Parts: sequence; structure tokens; C-alpha cells
Amino acid sequence: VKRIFRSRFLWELYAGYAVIILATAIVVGIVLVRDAERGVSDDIRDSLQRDAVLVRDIAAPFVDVAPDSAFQQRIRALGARTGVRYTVIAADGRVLADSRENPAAMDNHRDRPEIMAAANNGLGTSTRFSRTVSAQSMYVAIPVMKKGVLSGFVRTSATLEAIDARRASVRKGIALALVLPVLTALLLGLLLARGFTQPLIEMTDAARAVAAGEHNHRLHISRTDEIGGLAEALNTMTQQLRSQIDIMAADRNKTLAILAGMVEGVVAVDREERVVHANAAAQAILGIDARTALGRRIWEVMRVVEVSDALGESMRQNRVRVSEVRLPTPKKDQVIQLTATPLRNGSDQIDGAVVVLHDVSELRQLESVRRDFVANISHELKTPLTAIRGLVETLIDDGAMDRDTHDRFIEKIRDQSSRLSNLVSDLLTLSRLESGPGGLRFEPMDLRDTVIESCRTQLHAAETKRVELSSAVPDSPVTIEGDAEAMRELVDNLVSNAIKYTPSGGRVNVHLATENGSAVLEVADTGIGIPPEEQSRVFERFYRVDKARSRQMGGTGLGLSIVKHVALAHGGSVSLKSAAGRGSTFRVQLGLKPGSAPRREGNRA
Amino acid sequence: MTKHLQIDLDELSKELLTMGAMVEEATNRAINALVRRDRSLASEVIAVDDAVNDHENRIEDHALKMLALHQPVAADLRYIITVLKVNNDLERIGDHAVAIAERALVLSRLEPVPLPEDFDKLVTVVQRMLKDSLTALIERDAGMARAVCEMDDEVDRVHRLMYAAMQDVMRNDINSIEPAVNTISATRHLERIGDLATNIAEDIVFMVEGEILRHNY
Repeated sequence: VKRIFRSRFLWELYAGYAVIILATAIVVGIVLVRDAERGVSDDIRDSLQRDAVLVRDIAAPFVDVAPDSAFQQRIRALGARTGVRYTVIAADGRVLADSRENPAAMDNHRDRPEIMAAANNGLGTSTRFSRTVSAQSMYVAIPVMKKGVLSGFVRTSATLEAIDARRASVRKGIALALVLPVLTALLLGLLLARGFTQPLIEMTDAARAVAAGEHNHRLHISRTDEIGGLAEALNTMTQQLRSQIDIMAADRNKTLAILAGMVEGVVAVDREERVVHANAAAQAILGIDARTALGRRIWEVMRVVEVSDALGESMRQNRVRVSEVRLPTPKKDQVIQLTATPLRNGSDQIDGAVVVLHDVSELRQLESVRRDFVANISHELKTPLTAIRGLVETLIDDGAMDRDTHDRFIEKIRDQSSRLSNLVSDLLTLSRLESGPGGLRFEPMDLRDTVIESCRTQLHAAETKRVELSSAVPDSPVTIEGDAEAMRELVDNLVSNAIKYTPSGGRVNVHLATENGSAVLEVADTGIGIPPEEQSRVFERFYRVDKARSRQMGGTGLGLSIVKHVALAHGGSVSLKSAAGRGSTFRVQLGLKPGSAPRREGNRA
Repeated sequence: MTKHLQIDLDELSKELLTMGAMVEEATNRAINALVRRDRSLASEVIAVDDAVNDHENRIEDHALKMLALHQPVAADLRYIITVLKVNNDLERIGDHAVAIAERALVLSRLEPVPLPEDFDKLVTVVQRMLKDSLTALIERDAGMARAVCEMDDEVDRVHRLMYAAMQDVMRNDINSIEPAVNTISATRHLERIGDLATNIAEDIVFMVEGEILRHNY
């Protein structure tokens, strides 16, 4: 309420109005006062003149005789009664009688302006200072005529104090009569101006609130005029603004959620290379914290030169720039593909750039695995083939070969071809496994049978190598849903591997058990073990810890790969614990068939 | 301060930080090449050294031009002087990174010798020092720079332990002399990188506080 009186618009609007009202009142007042004042003067003069005429009749008999004290007394009494001063003057100017003064002490009045005017025109008026009464006075004089001869004058006068008193009361009356309407008009004007200003102030407030982001503001101005229309328009605008902002906020949140959920890192910078956005993935890859990085130069917050180069160059050259950077970490390299794109603003000027960080480490890893695989498979197939061809060519060329050599060659050809056949069948098994579960027939099966069977067939190999092979299975069936053939491959591979890499006098222990609803098969050996840095790779196809030794032992390099694939195809897992020189333990975990209750575990089979 | 000077200072900061990033990356790569016996990584470090040297020249050129052109005073002058000094130190760190990468190349051909556990510690501390000294430069954080200076004692201590450990290795196995000597050489370069990071940190304290810290640590 107070604020309204500080409104400039109110005062601008009101000032003109007030000035008009006040000026009108003043002009009207002045005109009225002047008019009334003139009326007052005229009234007094008229009454003085009437008095003079009355007194002339009284004075007529005395004007041409010697001064008479009785006459003087009479005039004095008359003056005392009416409050008007009367002076009777002889034609030669001598004062014969006066209602205020002793006539004998008074000057000759022939030279007084009113007397002179009365002598000439029959009526004289004058307003001047009277020494007799020491005040501004008005005088009216008329001649006294006797038979057509001027024989004296009668003069009446009143002090202007009386006139002023009358004027003052007239002014006061007029002022009083003007003040009330003026005040009313001013007040009404104020109310009117407020009526215009108040809604304007409210609308300004509302507009400010909207600008400050408070979009629930609503104006309550119920007017049907233009101001009401403006308020209505403002309300509509606010509402639309709010819905627009809501839409934009929703869009923004969606975009942010998408960015946050992306696996790829995204960093956006403005024209001055200040960070505008960095999503979670980018923060993880570049090791930055968006909270401190925002608004700072990209090259200040992270130390990967390629990223700031990519951003800077894409902006300078105005093109998409794709590059790759290797970020070495103690374990392996992280290979990041950088795609930097310049950002343009509405007027198609470059306004910044965005870089997408795509972790292609796995892709590169896969590529190298595939390359290795093709190279390996060619090599593995070629070695026995070369041997067979050499042997066969020798047999053909050398017709006179002795029987023993001939037989030995044939035997070698058989060995090599069986190695080839093993390799191909392993490859087929692998591809069957890799092509998904469709290649497998899942049936309930007892893992104990597989383990016992496998150990029996491998027993001979173990004994030949003087490796002690022992196995332990539970008393009750260990039933899983599985492909019997694939499971046999799994156990065979693990056991034969263990025997192969265990030197004479060592031990291989196969242990089957149930644990928390899963079957656990552990094959432990006391062999050469696998160094830690190789452990993650032994399940890769054709990967060999010691290439020469493995081939010499007749392995295809696919065994553990098959183990892993079988386990995965059965929804299980395989892990490895090993230390170089201290043997290895492979542990396969498979889900039990639901409903087959596991029981207490037994001893040796 | 004139606008042109400010623009030039920004540009200089960017160049120096790029240089810092290049050197830090080269150091990290050299260390990883050594630990992982990765020849390709080592070759990359050696290949990038020319770019580092070019960059050093460019920064020096730029800084000298700014001194001649703007004749800066007080904080700006200290900053440009610091840039010149840090630039020099960074280039030498780059050289040490190359030296480590060369040792890594040699070592990758030899039988591996077991690296003592202290080696990891040395690597961690040196990497941290380099990283923090550059961060302190960006943030103009004298406190952080002082912390880097303190870390150098740890580097020296671990470095001495490494010597002893390698001597043991050599005493036990004649064949391991060559790899052990190369390892010691690499360690020595690491220790030097720590020293240079300390120099950078001291320069930063000078830049921020105007106090010369050199030879106090």
C-alpha cells in the first residue's frame, strides 16, 4: 500500500491532474475575489454617497452661516451613530463641522481632490491616507447648492479597515466555498490515478516474478477495460511460458538422462573450450569431476592431450574429427575412440564442440583374438599336413625303403592324421557350442557317471606317465540338466590336461561335490602351474602358456576353450587358481537340476 | 592488465598444460611399458619425444615474445618466468620418460627379474608427484606444491631401497645382472623425474607466494 505512493507513474499521472484542479481553483478564486472586492468598494462608495445626500439636507441651512457648535454637536452625534465620518465644508474650504475632529483645528479643505472633483462634477471620490484618523480612507464629497449657487460641501468618509474587513470575510467565504470541491477533486483524482497505477504495479510485479522463474504467479485483476485485457494477456503468456518451460525442462531431463545412461563418454565445450557438460562415463574415462570441471577450460581439468586437440581442431576446421587414443593402465591399454563434432548455434556459427569417447578396448581385443585365431588355426592345420606330405612324398620317392622305416613312416602318418582329426573334431565341438544351445541336447544326467567314466579312460595315460590319479564323488547322484557328450568333453579335457602338465610322480585329484545348489567339480594337479599374467588368457582358443611344450604333448590348444564354452552353455562358470610351479586347480560350477536333493558327500569311488 | 596480455597468458597456459599432459602421458606410458614389458608402448613414448621437444621450443619462443612485447610486471612477470622454468623441467622429464622407455625395450628382450614391491611404490609416488605438481600449477595452489616437495623424501628413500634390492638379485644370480642393471637405470630415471617434479613444485610456490624455495627441500 505504501509502495503505491512511491510509484512514479502515479505521480506523473496525478501531478497534471492536480495542477489543473489547483490552477482552476486559483483562477476562479482570484476572479471571484476581485469581483467581490470591487463590489465591496462600490457598495461602500454608494452608501457613503447616500449618507452624503442625507447629510446635505441636514447641513444645507448651516453652510453659509458662521460655525455653530450645536450643528457641530449634531454632526458628531450622527457620526457616532453610523460610524461614518462626516465633514461639512464651506464653499471657500473652511471646515464647518466634523464628526471626529474639532473643525476649528482643521486645514482649509478646498484643495482636497474629492472637493475639487465635487466642485467641478457634482461628485468627488478619493482614496488616500487621512492624517485625521491615521488610516487609509475613502472619501466621497458632494456640493451643497442653494438657488443654483455653490454654497458648501458635504463629505463622507470611511476608513479602509472596514473595507478590508469586509473584503477578508468575502475572501474567506469564497475560499471556503472552493476548498471543499478542490479537496474532493484531488482525492477523487488520487483514487483514479491509483486505480490505473495499482494494476500496473501488480502486473510489473507479476512480470518480474515470471522473469525470475516463478511461473505460478497469477494476476487477479477483474477489469473489463484495456488494463484488464493486458492482465489477462499477461496471465495467458505466463501460462504458456510455464508450459513451454515445462516441456523444455522435461526435454532437458530426458536428454540428461540419456547422456547419463550412455556407455560412451560425452564432453561438450563452448567456444572458449570451457566445459559445458561431461556425462558420468566421460568423467570416469577422463578422471574428472563434473562439479569442479564445469565452466573451466578443458585442458585445465584433464590431461589427455588428444581430447582437447580433437575438440579444438574440430572447431577450427569445422568438421567431424575421428581419432583414437590409448590410455595405458597398469593392466592393459584402454583404447578410446574420439569423435569430435563442432556445435553450431542458431545463426550457424560455431559455438563449441562435443566429443564422444567410445571405449573400443574390447573391440580391439576381439579383433586381435580373431586375427590370432585365424593365424593359429592355419598354423595348427598346416603343421600335421606338412608332416604327412613330407612322409608320403618320401614313401613315394623311396621305393627301396626297408620295412621298418616304412612301417614307422606309416605310423607317423597315422599319428599326424589322428592329430588333425582331433583338431577338427575339437573345432567342430567348439563351433557347435558357440552356435548356441541349439546344438546341445539337455537331459537330466548324473555327473558322477561322467567323472568316473572319464577317470577310468584316463587311468591308462596316468599310469603310463606315473601320475597318481584319484577321484572323489558323493554317495548320492549329482543330477544336472546337461548334454552328456559335452560334459564328457569337459571332464576329459580337464583331466587329460591335468595329467599332461603334471610331471611323473605328481598327483591329479578330481573332486566332485555339491555346494549351495550347484555342482562343483574341481580338478587339482601338482603340475607346472600357470603364471598369474597368463591366467586370464588360458581359456582363449589356441592360447598356450608354453607353445613348444604344449604341442609336443599333443594338445590342440582348444581343450580349455571347450571347457569354458561347455560350462557357459550350461549356465555355469569356470575359474582357475594357480601359482607357477605349484600346480593348478580348475573349478567348474554348474547349476543342479531343481528337485534333486543334494546329500552328504562320500569318499573315494 | 591489457586484454592482449590476458589472451596471450591464457594461450601460454594452454600450451604449457598441453606440454604437461604430453609429458605426464609419456611418463605413464613409459612406466607401463616397463611393467608390462610392452614394446609397442615403449616405441610410442620414444616416437612422441620430438613433438615434446618442438612444444618446448614453441613455449619458450612464445614466453620470450611476451616478455619483450608486454614487459609485464609483478604477478604476470613471475608467471611467465615460472612457465619458462617449468617448461624446461617438463622437457627434461620427457627425456627421462624416453630413457625409461628405452630401458623397457631392452628389458623386454631379457629374462624378467622380479621387481621389488618398492618399485610399485616408487612408481605410484612419482606419478602422483608429477600429477600433483601440474594440478598445483593449474590451481596455483602453493599448499599442494609444498606437499609435492615433501613427497620427494619418500622417493629418495625408496630409491635407495631399490638399489639394495637389485644388488641382492645380482648377487644371487649371475644371469640377472643385465636386466637388474637396466632396472636400476630405469629406477634412477624415475627418481630424477621425482626431482624435476619437486623443481616444478618449488617454481609454483615462487609464482604464488613470490618466495624462493629452491634447495630447501
